[in-house]
Amino acid sequence: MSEPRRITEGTSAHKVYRYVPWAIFALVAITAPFWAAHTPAFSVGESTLTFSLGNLNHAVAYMVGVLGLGILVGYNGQISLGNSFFMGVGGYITASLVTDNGWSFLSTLIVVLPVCFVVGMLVGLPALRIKGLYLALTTLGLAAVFPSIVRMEQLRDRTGGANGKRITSDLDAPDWAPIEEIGDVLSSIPVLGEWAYGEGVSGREVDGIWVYLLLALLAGAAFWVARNLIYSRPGRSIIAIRDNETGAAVNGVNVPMTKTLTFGFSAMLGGLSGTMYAMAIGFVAPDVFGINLAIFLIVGLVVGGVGTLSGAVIGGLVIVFVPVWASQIESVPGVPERFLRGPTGTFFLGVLLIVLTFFLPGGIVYGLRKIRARFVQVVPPQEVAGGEEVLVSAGDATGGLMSRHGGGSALDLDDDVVDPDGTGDGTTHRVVPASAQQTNQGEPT
Amino acid sequence: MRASRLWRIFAVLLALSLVAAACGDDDDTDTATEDTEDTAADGGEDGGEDGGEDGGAVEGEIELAEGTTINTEDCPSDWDPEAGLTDDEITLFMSLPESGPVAALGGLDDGMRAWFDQMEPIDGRTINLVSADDAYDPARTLSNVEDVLETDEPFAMTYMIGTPNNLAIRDLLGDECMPQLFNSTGFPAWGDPAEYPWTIGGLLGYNTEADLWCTYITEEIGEDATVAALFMDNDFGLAYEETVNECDINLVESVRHDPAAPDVTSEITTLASSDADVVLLGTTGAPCPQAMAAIAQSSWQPQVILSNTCQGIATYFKPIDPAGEGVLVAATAKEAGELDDPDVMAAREALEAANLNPDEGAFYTGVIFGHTVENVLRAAAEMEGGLNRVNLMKAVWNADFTNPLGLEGGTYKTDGVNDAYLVEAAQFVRYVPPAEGEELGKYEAVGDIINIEGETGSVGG
Repeated sequence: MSEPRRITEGTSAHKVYRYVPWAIFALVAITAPFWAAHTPAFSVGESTLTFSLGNLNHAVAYMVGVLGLGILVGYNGQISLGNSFFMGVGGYITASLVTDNGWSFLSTLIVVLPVCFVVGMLVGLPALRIKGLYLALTTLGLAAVFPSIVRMEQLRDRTGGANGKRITSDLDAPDWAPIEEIGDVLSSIPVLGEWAYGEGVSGREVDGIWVYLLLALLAGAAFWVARNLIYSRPGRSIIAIRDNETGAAVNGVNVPMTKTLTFGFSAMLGGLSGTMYAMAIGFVAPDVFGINLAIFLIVGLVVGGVGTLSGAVIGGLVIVFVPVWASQIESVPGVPERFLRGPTGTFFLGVLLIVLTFFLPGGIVYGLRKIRARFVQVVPPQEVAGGEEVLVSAGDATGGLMSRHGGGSALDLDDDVVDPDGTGDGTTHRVVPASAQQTNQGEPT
Repeated sequence: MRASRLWRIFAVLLALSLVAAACGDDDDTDTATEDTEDTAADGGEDGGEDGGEDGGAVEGEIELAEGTTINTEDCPSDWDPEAGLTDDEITLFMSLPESGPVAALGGLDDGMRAWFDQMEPIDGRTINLVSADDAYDPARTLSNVEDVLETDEPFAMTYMIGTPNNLAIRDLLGDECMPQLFNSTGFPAWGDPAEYPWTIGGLLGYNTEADLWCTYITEEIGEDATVAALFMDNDFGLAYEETVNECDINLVESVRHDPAAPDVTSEITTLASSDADVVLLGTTGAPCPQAMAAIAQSSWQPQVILSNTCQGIATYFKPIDPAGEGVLVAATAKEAGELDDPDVMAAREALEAANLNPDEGAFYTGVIFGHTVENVLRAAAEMEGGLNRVNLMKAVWNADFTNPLGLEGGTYKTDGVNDAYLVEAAQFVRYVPPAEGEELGKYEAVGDIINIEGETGSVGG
């Protein structure tokens, strides 16, 4: 294998390396709905798989749910299965305020976010006493009870009871939004445009894309806030608690407060995800936010990458599209047709969970980073000086560490730094959490 | 500093939502305009009434039936009343749970296909039924429907399962002027042609069935009979519960069970402690035989009345024979085991030809549904203008036919707002376990067929 290319930090090559992928991602994210609107189906063998705007919007909503869970489980180490509960709370509050009180979708966040934050903190209180599997079981109870709560007689006027609640407000694209124009521009791209984007977009597609753009904006904001949180001092406290609770406490982290606030923050993202679900689907029903979703979120988290933020994007896509595509696969050579009917989607998700745990324990994001490390690696400038650079070179980029080493790296959050030996295990470059905190910008915690 | 940055982010978010609140006004205005349009349409209705029999028109305001009007100007600009039709094929679509908690119902489409494959073509066209799995998740029902509208628009949607699932798509299908036929749920609100002319239910209403139970109890068992009841804790069971709570019986104990629970033994124990004279089992799927078996094993000997969704003998009674002895069901169709009935035999042959087990409830029910679809399509094809969506909805809202697998003497009739429910006949039957040497038990009729055809009107009045 040839030597990977080395890029020195701070050079223009590093800037290209750092920002071009983001630009490509942004471009893909913005053009994806136009593509989905024109090419909602493609053929694989004899089966037709769909990539529709509706599924895409659904997936964007779930990304934020997975993100919320990822903060709690991946960064804070509190295994919770209860985030579907908060998604339900968010979804139902939005549905009720929009339908019964005539609020706009986004303004319901004024209620949803604080309510979920506070309820999340309350739920987080018992988590101070119970850990690991016990906490998982307790929060699973929360997920299980949600459908029964919304079916309660007393809430029926608000929740629509067992029949679910249709949200009677359409998110129509405003006139000033140049969605049709963007569609026309994309179709006029030579060769590719006609094939991928057809004649441009119209009618319901425009509204669907508008919803997508709103959702993408919300998701972008959520990821941005989450990233800043994780990179901040409270973020380091959150991670320190995951890695070594006693060590964190010794170093002055207020463990109960940080844990409870993390629970609240995670629940708030869950609530946001629920609101986004309501915007994407326009309908909420009790069983949507039940145990199934709780488990799907965990699957999304593990498949995307525990302890990474970008894993949530992949996780959201996986938990929406795998079941859809699995149900659309009609023939696989050598497999009897009756095996392709029934719960193949959940089966595939289960298989993914097992396979990834064994072969790619950090999830898909970890695998992608490992591949990237074979070709490119970022090295610090030669004149190493001060704590920050030391920290960056020592901090390991891979999200796989947590599961591989049990404890994990203190700083598996830096997308830009790849461990120099390219193996992804970071054995020689790990820093212990406590020392990481000490070296960081010289601020004692 | 970090904290202040977070606060700034919150401030931005709040500001964004306020902006959004302002944008919300746009929506309100939109709704207002729509309302005006609706009112205008309503106003025009009276004028258009005379033109109701405007033979074959598929444009403008059309009165399908009494109080049931559509206006094709509200349809999408590229709306084609003959979309989904070719010279030799009618494409229909259904989304149903092939996985998830109620996957047992996933065979309905196979049963329907088995019937469509061997029936006489309608006007030279065969029926191509496309189905998709939604795992009983309304979001997936919606995306399945959106997908199919974008890719391969069908002529109509049929017999989709689940109240939440059908509710999730009703507005969209109404906007698209796409027939949403015979929702496979007994939710009473499906009978609302004034508001939703493109949507109709296809089962005996759960409320109607529960009403029949109440009538039977007061008239046949006694007005003071004590009643215990088990309801599945979802849209289906709670629709029963609502009616039972309202009707004039002596309900002494009522328990809900979780649809996902592995068994209902503890619920039955609770009910048994009431020692009621009658027990209502408002549940479906595996809990039906579980509950009947648990009751048979206990010292409690109530008259069991079972939901007609568990009517299938081979599926629900055979595994627990003879525990189902004496159980009453308000049946709406002939049972798959009635081997001396030529129509049942034809259904069984169709299923066997498609390699499906005719004794399996979902497949056989699929054939019953297939007959209904065939009937309305034939009726529409005979109208002036031939088969198109407008004629299809006329046929649906003016239905008058008998389903060969329906009850002897029962009719499938509708008449716009005067009678918005298709299936309104039922008959109590009592289960008799198989005698020595017989494979399957059978039903014996109790009393006469109860036909409330035309008495129920519609949701709107």
